[in-house]
Amino acid sequence: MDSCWAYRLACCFSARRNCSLAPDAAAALMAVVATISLGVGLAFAAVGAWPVLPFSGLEIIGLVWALLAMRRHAGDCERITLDACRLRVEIREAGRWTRHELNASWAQVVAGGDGSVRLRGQGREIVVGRHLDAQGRCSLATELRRRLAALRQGTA
Amino acid sequence: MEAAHAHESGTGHEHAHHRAGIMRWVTTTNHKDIGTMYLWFSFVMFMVGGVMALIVRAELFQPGLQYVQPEFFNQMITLHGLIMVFGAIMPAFVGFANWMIPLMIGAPDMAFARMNNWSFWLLPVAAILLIASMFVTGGAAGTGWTLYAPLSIQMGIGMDLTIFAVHILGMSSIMGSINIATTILNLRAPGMTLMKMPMFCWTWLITAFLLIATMPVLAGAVTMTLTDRHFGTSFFNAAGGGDPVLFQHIFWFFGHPEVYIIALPAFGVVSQVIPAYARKPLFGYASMVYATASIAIISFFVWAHHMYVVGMPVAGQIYFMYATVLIAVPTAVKVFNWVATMWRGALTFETPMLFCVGFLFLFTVGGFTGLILAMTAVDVQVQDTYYVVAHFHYVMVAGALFSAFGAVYFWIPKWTGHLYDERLGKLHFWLSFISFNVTFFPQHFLGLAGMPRRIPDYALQFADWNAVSSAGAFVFGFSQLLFLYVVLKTIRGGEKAEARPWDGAQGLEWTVPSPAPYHTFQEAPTLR
Repeated sequence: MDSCWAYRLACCFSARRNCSLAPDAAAALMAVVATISLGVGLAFAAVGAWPVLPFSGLEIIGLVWALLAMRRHAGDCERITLDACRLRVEIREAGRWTRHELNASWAQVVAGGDGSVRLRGQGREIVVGRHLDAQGRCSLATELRRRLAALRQGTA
Repeated sequence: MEAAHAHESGTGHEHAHHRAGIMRWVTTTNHKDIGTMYLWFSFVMFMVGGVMALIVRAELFQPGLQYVQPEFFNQMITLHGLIMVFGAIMPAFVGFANWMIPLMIGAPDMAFARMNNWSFWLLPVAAILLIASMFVTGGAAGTGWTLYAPLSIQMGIGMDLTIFAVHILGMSSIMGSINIATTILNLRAPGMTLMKMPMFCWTWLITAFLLIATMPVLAGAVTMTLTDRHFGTSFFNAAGGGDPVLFQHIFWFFGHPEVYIIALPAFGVVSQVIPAYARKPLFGYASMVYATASIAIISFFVWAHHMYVVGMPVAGQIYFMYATVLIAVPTAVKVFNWVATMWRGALTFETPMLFCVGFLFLFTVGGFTGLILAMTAVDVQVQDTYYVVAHFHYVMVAGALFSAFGAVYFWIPKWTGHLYDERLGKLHFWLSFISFNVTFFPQHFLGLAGMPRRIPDYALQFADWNAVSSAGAFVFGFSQLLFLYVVLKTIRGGEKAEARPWDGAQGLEWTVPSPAPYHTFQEAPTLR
């Protein structure tokens, strides 16, 4: 399993969204493209054809917007932490963290018919494993069940 | 490269949640739907542009004026060029990109699905404007697709509609290219590094950046034409102190990379098809990537080889001559690699392979005449003659169009779930191949003999080859109805296609069933 998809099995499981372009690479690429495009615009402005430049600028704004929009979600991730009495789920989406806490003694791992995995407890249901493939979700559900059962038996 | 697990389809969760009827197509954000719309749009425009070409060839069948007035002839020439470049060939390759790139990289869709919808729906608006320009006072622009000043400053309202259409087409191209670049860079499946990507994705990534770099230049050029026409500026108007030659520099700074914007995705298609029917991996993958990038980079430094006769210092002529010749080096690397891929391969010649081998042969002919035209001393003699027309049709039609036909035959089993009629496909190839050469090869002779382009009438000495060329053009044009028939027949039925109908085809796109489900790779595949 590729590292970016893998849950690291300890008491903390984390997974992040697949994003094949690192933020640094995106920034470098943007800098190169902007330099070329604005350079062309400036060269034409220098010979009197200045209307090329605003179009270059507009287009670079569009490209920056596109890469920022992708970057907003590049850090999307999920973290599931299990300690002696709490099962904590932290979800980061578009830079915003959402945190859920369940009582580990009562929490249940439920596999949905659509292949999803949910954590159920205290009248709530939280979908987890959204960044994993079906096989990864299955492994996650099995491992969480095993650890919750061990916790309840006091052998964790 | 193989996916670690096959695509799960037919397991009950492959429902297509989309609207029915016309609204499905208006509102769709699905890359396959949008790809399909691009392809149909480009075919319709190919037919419209083709009819215009046939009007031109009908008029040129004999010397003298037979069917149309010179003004209308010029309008047909202009619209044929604009429609074929911006309405037919470019959208066709964007259509292939939409359909195939997400499948090839294991992405669920394009990065900006809604923007993808907008990019497509701008196209019919631009097409309507272009065609409507024929019906306004003064008719459509008669400048040729290059829209050269000062003629473009003097034309009627049809020119304004053309400028508006070019702006809209440019917006569509920019949105499309940003979308394609972002998709390829961000949405590759884990394990698919850049140097493991299919060549078609590489060529499109480089093309997207070419578009990003050049489209503002075209937008600026037509905006300046517009302001010269209506807002009292004098960018290109010599009477006001402007410089018409500046327009040519600006236009060709866009126009020459535009040739590669069309050619590079065609190279990508050929790089997918030849290994599949040679049953061998592509020879020299890394050198193909570097050659593609080199062609793209050098294309920015050769624009003035279109302008040797407008007045340029000898040093400038020599520089542009050598720079142009330099492009032949990476192009030759590509041709060598395609031939080396076929060398000792288990070759079979199904229709897609025939079109790609046809491409290889004819594109090389077009490349060689390009080298001849790059020589300043020769170009001065044949500038604006039919030799140039023959050259760029060998590059554009035999290059881009033949590879587009190859792409349709190659991927249509994946799109429709049916195999096409091989016998009719081959008939389409041979009709197209022979009639194409009958149409355009004699134009080399006409050009060398001195026949100027963009004229409705000509001296008697050019009559024979013009008659041959026109006859070939009509056969070529009507052969494309056979293509339409084959495509419609394949959509309606035929032998069921397997997930991988070509035994030599490799890649993620062949791991999904045929026809490809409405949603694919909603979970990224893991590559090994």
